[in-house]
Amino acid sequence: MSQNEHEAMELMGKSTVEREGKYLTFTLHDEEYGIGILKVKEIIGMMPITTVPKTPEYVKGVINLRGKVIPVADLRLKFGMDPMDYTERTCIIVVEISGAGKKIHMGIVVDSVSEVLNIKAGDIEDTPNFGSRFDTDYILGMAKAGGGIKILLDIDEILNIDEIAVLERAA
Amino acid sequence: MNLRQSMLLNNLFSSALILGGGTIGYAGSANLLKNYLSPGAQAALLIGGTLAGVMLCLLGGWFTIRSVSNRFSGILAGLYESTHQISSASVQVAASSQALAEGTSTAASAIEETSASLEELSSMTHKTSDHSTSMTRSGDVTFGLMKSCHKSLRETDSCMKRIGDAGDQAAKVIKTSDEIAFQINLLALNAAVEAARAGEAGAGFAVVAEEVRNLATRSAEAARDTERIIGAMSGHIQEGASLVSKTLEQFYSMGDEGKKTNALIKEINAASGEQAQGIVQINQAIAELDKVTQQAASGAEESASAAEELAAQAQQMSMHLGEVTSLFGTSLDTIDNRAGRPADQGERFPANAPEQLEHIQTANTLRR
Repeated sequence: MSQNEHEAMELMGKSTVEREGKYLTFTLHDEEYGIGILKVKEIIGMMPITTVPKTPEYVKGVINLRGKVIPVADLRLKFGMDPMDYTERTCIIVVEISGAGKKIHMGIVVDSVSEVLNIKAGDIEDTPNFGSRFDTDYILGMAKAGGGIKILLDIDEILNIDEIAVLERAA
Repeated sequence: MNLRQSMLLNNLFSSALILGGGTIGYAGSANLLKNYLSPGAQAALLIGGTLAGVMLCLLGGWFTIRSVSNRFSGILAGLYESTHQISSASVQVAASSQALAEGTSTAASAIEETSASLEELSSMTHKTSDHSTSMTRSGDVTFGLMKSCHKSLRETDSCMKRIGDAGDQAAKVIKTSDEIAFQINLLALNAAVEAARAGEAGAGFAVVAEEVRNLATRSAEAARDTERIIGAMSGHIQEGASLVSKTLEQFYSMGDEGKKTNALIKEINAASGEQAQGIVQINQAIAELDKVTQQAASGAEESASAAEELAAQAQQMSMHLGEVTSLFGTSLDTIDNRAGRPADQGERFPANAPEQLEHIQTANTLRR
């Protein structure tokens, strides 16, 4: 099996079998996004966040979730969007990030949580090429649902585990 | 020397003459002729002397009568002149009395007209006064109504506020139910996540979670609808409250205006009362004036009749004078002459005086 074939197989696997399944959808800046449901640990309403100094701007701080300290990142800030005041619809999705042989929990702040959607493989399209300069690795694909498009995110890519490790230490 | 003295003097003079003649005759016959004359001659001389005395006496009487007659002529002329003056004056008095009577009758009719007008004015003033009184009463009633209306408005205002508060509370309740729906939604999502993690075993649970989520969504929708309705209601309530406030404000200004109007009406009422009183006084004065005019009219009538009487008396007097004149044998012409007035030029007595009097009398009778 050559290198190319392996890459092709990997791509195929990613596009068909792996991407099909249930996604938790949420909104961010009036756009719908989806995260694979197995990545989601829990959904909680907004709760007091303790800010941590000397952290990146997108890291809002840490929360105390039933005795467990979990770092929280604002996805708007991470994506370079305008910040928004938190409302009663604002939620924290606790996700499980895996990488480098370990799994950590992390909260991400989203505008609101929508629903759990079962997305078929046929409804998922590959990310269009915006040019080589733009990194689209964090996007799993584009899901067509109800006339609109939901961007499926690869949360492991978004939140670099090394950065999280630093945060973990800070926490 | 007056007439009485002159007559006395004349009598004395003639008596002296008679006595003198007699005495002289007697003395002559007694002393001088006693010795020289026979008793027959003495008697003749005595008779002659006496006759001479009587003659002298008669002569004196004639002179006396003549002088008295002359004086009487003068007096009669004066009397006649006075009678003439009185007669013409009485005509004048009668004429002016008539004029006065006419004037007073005109005044009386004018007063009557004025009195009638005043009566009308008085009744109108009374009516105005009545109207203004009832206006005052209805103004008071209106004022009372406005007060109670104001109270009701204030109650409405506070009621609107209470409704607004109730709406706010309902909104809070709805918010709570919306939050609960949100929490249920989160729970359902978490349940769905757990079901997915459970794989095939969690499939049934996933369906339940989905249903719960649907319910939560419906509940949230219902809450949102209710919230919208309550919001609209709240808006309407606020609108109503502001309208009530505005009405209250306008009502306040209306109340002020009403107070002013009421005061003005009261002033009008007082003024019309005073007016009525004034008219009553004017009425009294007019009645007094009427009385005085009546008195003046009756006085004028009396003076006219007195003038008539005076004229009649003057005529009578003139007649008597004529008789006296004829007694003395002096004609009225000579009297006129003596009075310094030619008989053919001046009228002895105003020839038309009786006619004038007649005319005045008729006029008076007619007026009565």
